[in-house]
Amino acid sequence: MKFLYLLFLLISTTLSAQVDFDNYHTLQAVGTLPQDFTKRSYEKMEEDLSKGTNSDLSEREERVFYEGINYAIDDLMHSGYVVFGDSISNYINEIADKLLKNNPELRKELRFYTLKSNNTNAFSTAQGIVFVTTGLISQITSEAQLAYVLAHEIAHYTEKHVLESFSYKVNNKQTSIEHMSVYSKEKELSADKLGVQMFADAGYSKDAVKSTFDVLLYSYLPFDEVEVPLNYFVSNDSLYLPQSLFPSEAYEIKADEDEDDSKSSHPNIKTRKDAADSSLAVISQWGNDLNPLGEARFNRLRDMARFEVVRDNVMNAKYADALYTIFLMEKEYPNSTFLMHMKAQTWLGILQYRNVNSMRTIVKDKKDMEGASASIHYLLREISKDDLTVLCIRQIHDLYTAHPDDKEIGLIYERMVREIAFKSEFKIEEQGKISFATAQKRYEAIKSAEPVEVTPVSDTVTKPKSKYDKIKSKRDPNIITSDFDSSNFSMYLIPDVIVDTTFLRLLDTYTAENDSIELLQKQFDALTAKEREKLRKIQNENELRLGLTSFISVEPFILSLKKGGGIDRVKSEKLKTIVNEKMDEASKRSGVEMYNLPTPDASSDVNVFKERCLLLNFVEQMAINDEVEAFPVDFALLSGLSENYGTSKVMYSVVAHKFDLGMSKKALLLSLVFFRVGMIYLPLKIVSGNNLIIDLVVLNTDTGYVEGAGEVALKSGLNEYMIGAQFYELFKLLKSEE
Amino acid sequence: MKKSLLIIIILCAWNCNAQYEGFYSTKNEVNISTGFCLPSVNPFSLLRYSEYSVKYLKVSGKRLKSGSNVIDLNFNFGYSHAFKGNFAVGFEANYERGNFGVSSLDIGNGENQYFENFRTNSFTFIPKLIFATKNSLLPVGLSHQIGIGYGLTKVRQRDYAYAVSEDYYPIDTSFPITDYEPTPINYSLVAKNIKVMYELNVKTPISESMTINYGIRYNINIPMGYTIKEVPVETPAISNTSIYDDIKSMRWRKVASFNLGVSYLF
Repeated sequence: MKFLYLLFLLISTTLSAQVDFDNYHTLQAVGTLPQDFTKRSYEKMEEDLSKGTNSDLSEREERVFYEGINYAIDDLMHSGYVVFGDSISNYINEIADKLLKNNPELRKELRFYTLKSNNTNAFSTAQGIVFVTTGLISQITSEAQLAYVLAHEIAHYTEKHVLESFSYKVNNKQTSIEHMSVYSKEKELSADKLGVQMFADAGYSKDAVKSTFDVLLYSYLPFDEVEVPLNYFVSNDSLYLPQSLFPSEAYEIKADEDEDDSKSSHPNIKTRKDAADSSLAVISQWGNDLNPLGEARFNRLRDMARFEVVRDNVMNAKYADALYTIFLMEKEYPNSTFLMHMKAQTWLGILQYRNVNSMRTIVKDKKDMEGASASIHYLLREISKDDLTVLCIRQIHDLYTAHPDDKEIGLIYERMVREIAFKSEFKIEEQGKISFATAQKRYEAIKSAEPVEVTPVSDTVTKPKSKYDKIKSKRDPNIITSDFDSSNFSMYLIPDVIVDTTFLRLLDTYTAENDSIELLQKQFDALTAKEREKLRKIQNENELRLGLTSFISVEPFILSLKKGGGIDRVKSEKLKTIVNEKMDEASKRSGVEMYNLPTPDASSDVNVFKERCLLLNFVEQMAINDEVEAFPVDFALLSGLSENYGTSKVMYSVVAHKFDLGMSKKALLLSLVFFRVGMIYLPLKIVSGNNLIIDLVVLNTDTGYVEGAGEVALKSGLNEYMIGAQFYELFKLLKSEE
Repeated sequence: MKKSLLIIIILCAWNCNAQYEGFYSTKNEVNISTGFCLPSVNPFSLLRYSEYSVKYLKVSGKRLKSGSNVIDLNFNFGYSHAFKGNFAVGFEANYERGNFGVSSLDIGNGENQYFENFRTNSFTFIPKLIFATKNSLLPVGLSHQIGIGYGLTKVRQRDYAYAVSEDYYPIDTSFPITDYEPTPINYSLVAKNIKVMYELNVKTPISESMTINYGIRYNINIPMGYTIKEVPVETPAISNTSIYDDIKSMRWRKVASFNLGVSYLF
């Protein structure tokens, strides 16, 4: 019976640890919300202040310290990038258990979370929170390396390095960067040393210590080094990319162990390795464990982290890196829908950035290219605009053809056609009707005077050619009359696409839409300046008339800006609750249903937290890609969310307040000197000094499009009734139709 | 009666205006406020009117001492109706208290008669136009108020103290009070003026139907002459023209005032 129970337990554990990489979705929080996420920052700050720092800091400096760290860390906790209870966080916690098995009190103090970021990093805070990035996990080669990083971070915490660094800065305000660097490097070496002992006590193999430094040294490169074969983009015989588009020789990796670290916070790798040698020599007892929690588990979790790296690359428009990391992962997961979606999004993103002439945003400069991934950066940098457009069409079309029933791919395909109809200089008549391979064969046949049967993809009816047809045909790529030019490869890339009925139908629809917009623009341009201004005004007023009956709202960001700069964080945070209440009231009054997703508190549900994270990631992606209409990276999850709430419209808002006299110091001084005149002018400035701005944007999670945006600028303080009334007006506007 | 009917009709018409819902469905506002005017601190005192401020005498115990008029209060009652978020129309009834120093009288024998400052009461009725910026929700928030009204000023009936002295200018000195003059002037004198005002006002809501108001107001009082309604029983000690001139200069000095009040929204 016991055996059966154990078996059941084992099976359930194995099942719960399984990851469906073919249908992977981004990491999300699991379980009950930890207090770190639910407690208000000012409460944490007051608690910390009551304990004190036991340092030489004054009361005011302590307040600055605790306010700074609590708000900075809570900003991160609520950013949508930190997850808990997921497979990776659980794994990190298990390693921490192992490291601190002899120190249960310390273990209780520490909390470990996963941070979704491509930076190869881990860091601990003065509050006892350790963040480990997915970027770090994607790069390491064993559990032991992660354990060493954690041991290093735990040492930072036990030695109170965050507080000490703050105290050092406060007491040495005039210190140079070099001096600060020396101080910081000492702390790092100390954490390295202390970490080694903890690491050894846990039974890990000493081999992992120095190899961890290699991970750090090459962390700026993608997580693997595999040459991209020249035929990687060749999906069928249409595709040919000339060798000139790839680097003739490999880009060397420039990382230097002994780089100048005189201005760095961390010592260079050579120094750290040398110091580690001394620390390792002192310890006599070493274990042999590299992956005591299981190699398969480590590999699985690392692959999850690598999938996150792909997602992060797509989200941040690092499309060359995205293509490279997809290429790396595709080998092991050829059937992954996730990778397929990321690939389609990447090609769409490349097309969009190409259309706004911002390729520099998505690829590296040649001088910064290193390693195997350089070939993709090189390709995207070298290829001409028109050729790249056709290449993007080719790639997305292939994905669409292979997965015609996939909703996401279908939408990306539509977006691609819309993009070329609206923004590209793509001309379908300039595209060749035969593939590159066929064209090449024809050329060789003409050259050798041997007739070759050519199968055009299009069903064109052959008619007797007139003189004029003959002239035109000279320009037709079907007719190879001169030496075959392989640099014209893009002409032959999409012969099947230009006759595809879905493609043509969509292209016609979007071209017609674009034509009507252009016509309207021409009519607009023909108006007088006054008429144009009037129309613009109407347009602005209609911007938020979306006819909404319901929408999701991500709790507004409240920014009470200080006169001298910066944000009054405590005041801003305390106002959140009031603003939420007023927004709820406004929603009820206006008859628009609002599903508010607030910053979590003790009563919050983890699902609401997850949804909030998803929506924060979504808006961040849109903000990063503000030049283009980016496709939502978490489209599938967002679709689920919109189904759940019955609306795909999400409102993001910012309420900001600042008191500003709006006059220079000189004018202020003059007003005071010439008091009798100044007393006429100065009160006006004082009375009108309050500036309140409410900004909002409504995004569609199904498309990523901005549905509407608006700004309310007022001369008002941060008054709850005023804010409530303004939201009421805005909600009425959102409800009304154009 | 006709006027009352007209006002009711206008009010009904205003309330029937359904285009703008108002601040939490309120478009009307009644307010009471107190204004604090600092006559001695005004730009005109740098110009020709500065000469008047030096004649100001006030009672201190049994003496007349030179001083300055530090603060005058005024009390306002107003009503406004918002037609749009950024436009409203209103009116205001204003009672204003004033002070002014009086010109001395040469009473012969090388002696001058000096009076303590005279008090005035002013009543003004001002229709106002109220403007605000694009996203405002009148009647609350910051607004620019412009009004042109009609005002009447009378010297308050009171026994004013006077001193007789050989000194010509009692600057920074004081005189023992000689007596109280029961009828120094003709009380029937009513100075008239057109008041042009601009106020930058902020109404900060403290509930959905109450606001606290504050603002800075600038006035220009254009003199429109005076009337005497009753034939004086006695010849006034100081001529009507002289009193009228003093009232005029006093009104000029009331250039700016700071207002503080409350409003009820409905």
